[in-house]
Amino acid sequence: MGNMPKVIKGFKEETVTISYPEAIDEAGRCYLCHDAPCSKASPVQTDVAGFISRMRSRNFRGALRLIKETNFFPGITSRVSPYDEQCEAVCLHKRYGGPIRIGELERVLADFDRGSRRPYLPEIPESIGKSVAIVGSGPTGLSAAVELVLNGCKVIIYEAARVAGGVFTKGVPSYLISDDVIDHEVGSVLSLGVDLVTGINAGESINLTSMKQSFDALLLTIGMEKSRRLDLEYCKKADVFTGAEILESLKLKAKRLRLGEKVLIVGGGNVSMDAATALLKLGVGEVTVIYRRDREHMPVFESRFQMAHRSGMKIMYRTMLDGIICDSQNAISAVKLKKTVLKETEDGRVVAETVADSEFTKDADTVIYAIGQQLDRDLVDQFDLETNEMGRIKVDQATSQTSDPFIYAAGSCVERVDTITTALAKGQLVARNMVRCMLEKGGGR
Amino acid sequence: MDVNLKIKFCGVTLINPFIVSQVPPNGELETIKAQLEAGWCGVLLRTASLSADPRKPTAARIRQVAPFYRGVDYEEKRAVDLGWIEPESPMSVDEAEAATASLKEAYPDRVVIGAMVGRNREEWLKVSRRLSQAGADIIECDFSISAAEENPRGPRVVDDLKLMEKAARYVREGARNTPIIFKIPGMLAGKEQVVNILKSADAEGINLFYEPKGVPGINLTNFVPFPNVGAKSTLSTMGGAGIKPYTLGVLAEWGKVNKDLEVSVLGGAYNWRDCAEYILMGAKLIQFHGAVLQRGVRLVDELNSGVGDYLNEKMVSSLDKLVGKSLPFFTTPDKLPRTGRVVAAIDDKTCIHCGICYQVCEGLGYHAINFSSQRKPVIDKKKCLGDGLCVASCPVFNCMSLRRVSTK
Ligand code: SF4
Ligand code: SF4
Ligand code: SF4
Repeated sequence: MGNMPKVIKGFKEETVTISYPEAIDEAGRCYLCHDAPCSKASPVQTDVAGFISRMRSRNFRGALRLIKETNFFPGITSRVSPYDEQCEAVCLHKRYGGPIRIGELERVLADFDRGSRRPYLPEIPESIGKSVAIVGSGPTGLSAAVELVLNGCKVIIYEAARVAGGVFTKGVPSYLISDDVIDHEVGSVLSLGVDLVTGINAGESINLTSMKQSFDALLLTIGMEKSRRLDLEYCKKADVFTGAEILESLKLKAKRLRLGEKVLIVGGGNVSMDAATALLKLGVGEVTVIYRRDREHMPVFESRFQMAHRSGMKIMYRTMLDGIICDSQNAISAVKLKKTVLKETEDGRVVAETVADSEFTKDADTVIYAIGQQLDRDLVDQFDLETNEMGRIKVDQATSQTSDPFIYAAGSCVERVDTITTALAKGQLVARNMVRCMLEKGGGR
Repeated sequence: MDVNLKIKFCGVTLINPFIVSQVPPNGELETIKAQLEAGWCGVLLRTASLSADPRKPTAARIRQVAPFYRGVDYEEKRAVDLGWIEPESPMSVDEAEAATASLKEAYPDRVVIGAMVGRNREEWLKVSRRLSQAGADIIECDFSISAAEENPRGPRVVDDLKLMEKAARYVREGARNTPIIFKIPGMLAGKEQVVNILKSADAEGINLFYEPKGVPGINLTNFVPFPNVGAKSTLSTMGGAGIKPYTLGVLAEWGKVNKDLEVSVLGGAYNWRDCAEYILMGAKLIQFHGAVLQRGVRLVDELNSGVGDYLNEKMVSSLDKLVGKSLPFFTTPDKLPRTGRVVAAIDDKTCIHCGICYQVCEGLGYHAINFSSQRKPVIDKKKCLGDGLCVASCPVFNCMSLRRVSTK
């Protein structure tokens, strides 16, 4: 039987950073456009032409500083965010020789900084006498922390996991990004003087009344921690996981996973692709992804799809999972699948409907759900916060305040956030809103 | 059309107008032969001098420092200029004689230019005589050197017109029927007088050059200027692609006063376009320096092909017909026409909407370009003064141009 427990050792980073000579050449190609569209397409509005022009004259430190002013995590974003679908997609050099490889250039600078004896740290301004508690240390939380500190606030972060970083440390496979990079950039937030408490379950340990006494505001950046599962019946010993679980155990390296030889992954997003890629790299015999609609509907980055594709992922479009079949040992032996047809709804969305009598079976020994995440409601219920029709925390658009004005929320617990760079932008925005609201409420203490 | 690049210079037929100048520390016969094998029209020997000890080979006499070259980079472009500390390594006349004889024998269709210096009657007479007897096709005498041997930085031969006149006559006398050309710094004042003196001495030509002294840069870490010779530096001779416009200017200036001397030019040429421009500005022989150091002797293939294809395209059957063709267009600022109007134009098909034209026109103060939120630049023909700054700054080749507009 193939599904013996495997000890997961993690991966070596496979992202290659271009060399200095190539980077200088690439920087030299940039037109340094007036009012450059690349900056506008960057979720955090990085001054791309500005940093590239500094790079051209070999002012690497100045270039890095300019990036860090809008993006404190360039080493991470340049490995994980789809620059080819953001700033690079609108680069005006596209027509003549292809877009400038902005992500590569940022990565060169981030790696230069990480390797330098004096990594960049901004100056901390004078205190404005406000202190903020943040729950959740994912990209939105960390980025909000940086922005708050740089606006003179005192910040403490509570994180439920053992290490800070949220999706950085739990969800991004290490063949994309090494722990070194994450440790350096997450660590640099702490170097700013942000306090971090890990392994603390906010729902159990945080008392809102005492919070209101010790802090000026509370920010929830708790993400979408619960993985969705389909409501299907299956035997006791069946190997049914979620994509997030798989990715997290690969990152944390401590867990043992029972992985089969015929894995079925349900869902067509980045988590699904990453799980497929990771499992195939680990030597799992066959990984099949099923998705209800077509390729163009998949909420996935092209680069991540290609990676899974190159690793040997099989994919079945217009297919959905209908049941799990177990054998006499109470393990999965096959899955029941159904075909779908696509229909356009009145508001222009394309939805999949099952085709009657299209049921078929397929051999499988492991099923992984990668069909999205949902809000962990514990904290929301405890703080008695209102949620919206999407099942996320409801906030005031202008102030980022929840139904309790002391509590702010941002990131994927509030709205759909597609990329890490967007999450960083959300963190900056909420921080600015908080500073404004806190100052309006009354001067420094 | 059958084109060849043959050209007559000082009565000698060259297979093409390209030659490698004396590149320090070149002087080895093998290096020279490699140039001829590659297809250059001839060789320019290292300067021969009576003061060089004939018993020691050139290589043993070279007292060179290291490093003595230094490239000047501009952003991602490497070595746009080149600086070097001049070596002091003349050849002995014996060596020059031997090299001339053996090269003429092995490569009868190529020219050997014997280079020489002199500081007194004996030297000017004797060296030119010996080079001529050894079979040099042309003799080039350097007048840009100091006139006094004991003071290498002292006044140059060209700075003393009386001395120059005498020297030119001695060289003429010594060289007999061999054509002579004189190496003259291009930025010299009193060009007309120089031309007259050389003409009256029956010189065939001049070799013009512009190689100013400079400092290629400074190491920002340890503050030592380049080239760093054991933590000391000195002035370098600057050459390379960066000096081409100045050299072209030199040709234009001399072209105004010189009708009779044939013109050779040294330095600044990097590709066939530079050569075509030098020829149009009156040069018949182009001496290469930095470009060969960086690109190697095969560069001549590109030059042959580039100039050849250009002739073909222009339907010109021989290179002679292009010599000096641009000189009539060249005049002094006061003679430039003040009527007529030009405006900038944009080729919408190649424009990539970078907005740089808009940025420079706004910066300049004429505000003649509108740049909409759709990023489409549009020239306001009423406001445009046609200064050409935007055309110079547009990053896309042939995207912007200047058009003459009729004025009533
Ligand atoms: S759009 Fe492209 S070429 Fe223009 S500034 Fe941005 S990166 Fe450079
Ligand atoms: S500088 Fe050239 S490419 Fe750029 S917008 Fe102007 S015309 Fe277009
Ligand atoms: S030619 Fe001068 S004035 Fe006219 S558009 Fe260009 S920069 Fe502006």
